[in-house]
Amino acid sequence: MKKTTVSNYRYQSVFGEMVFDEISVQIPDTCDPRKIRRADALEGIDYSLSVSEIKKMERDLALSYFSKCYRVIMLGERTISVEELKGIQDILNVNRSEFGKLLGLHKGSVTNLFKGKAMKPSLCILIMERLGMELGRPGSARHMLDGGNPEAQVPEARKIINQTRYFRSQAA
Amino acid sequence: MKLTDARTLLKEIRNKDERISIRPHAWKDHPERKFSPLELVRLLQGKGGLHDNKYPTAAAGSFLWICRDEDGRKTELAIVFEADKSGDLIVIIHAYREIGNEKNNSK
Repeated sequence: MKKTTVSNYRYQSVFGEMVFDEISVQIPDTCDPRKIRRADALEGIDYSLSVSEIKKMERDLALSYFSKCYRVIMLGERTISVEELKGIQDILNVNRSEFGKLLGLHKGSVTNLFKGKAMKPSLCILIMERLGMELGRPGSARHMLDGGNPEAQVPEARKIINQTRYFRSQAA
Repeated sequence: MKLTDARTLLKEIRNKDERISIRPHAWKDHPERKFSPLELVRLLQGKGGLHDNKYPTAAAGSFLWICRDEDGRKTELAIVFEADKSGDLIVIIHAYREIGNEKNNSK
């Protein structure tokens, strides 16, 4: 397989549709990458998109969704649909039980949400806040689920803190 | 590639996002199945088993990743292994799940 970059690539998700430039696609070896500059030329070709490219596009779409809908949801004029909820779950990169933990919900309540049960406005706001947090700082949902303990990720920091304590106790 | 080799390779690279790619056909051509590309990745990286693809219409050299989605529905992803400059890639070429029995949560 060969990689090539195309412009004018139209990508659609539950958050809407957007046209992207500089999207890297993988095409079969038999195709000439010089002839494929625009997304229209991909018509009829068995091309594939890498997960990192898909994530990039999904994040951009989610960002536009967030900036468009956060205020409306906060004012209680709109709620989150099941499809959007699945999209948010994809962006957070968590499974349903983890999604429940992030929202402080029981497993059964999460299942009900995904079955289309009406959501309280406060829950909608919390979901949007979790989405905003993830978009602002990728990986923060996972970090929160892991206990939000930065020391566990930076053993050097732990070592320095322990050393400082040791010197302090010596001085005392 | 034989099934045993495919299982070993899959185990090695399935958690590396940069080594997975998806053909748009897998989520676009059957909108009634309601797959999203990131869900396909999550299914591939979750619990499941790799089997030979014995469907008569199967693509040559493809394998089936059989798993269950979060509603407990049996889901099948057809994957092939391709090689590029930087190494082996998993390409998800097709995805199938039953529709209309979302209430069946039996595992």
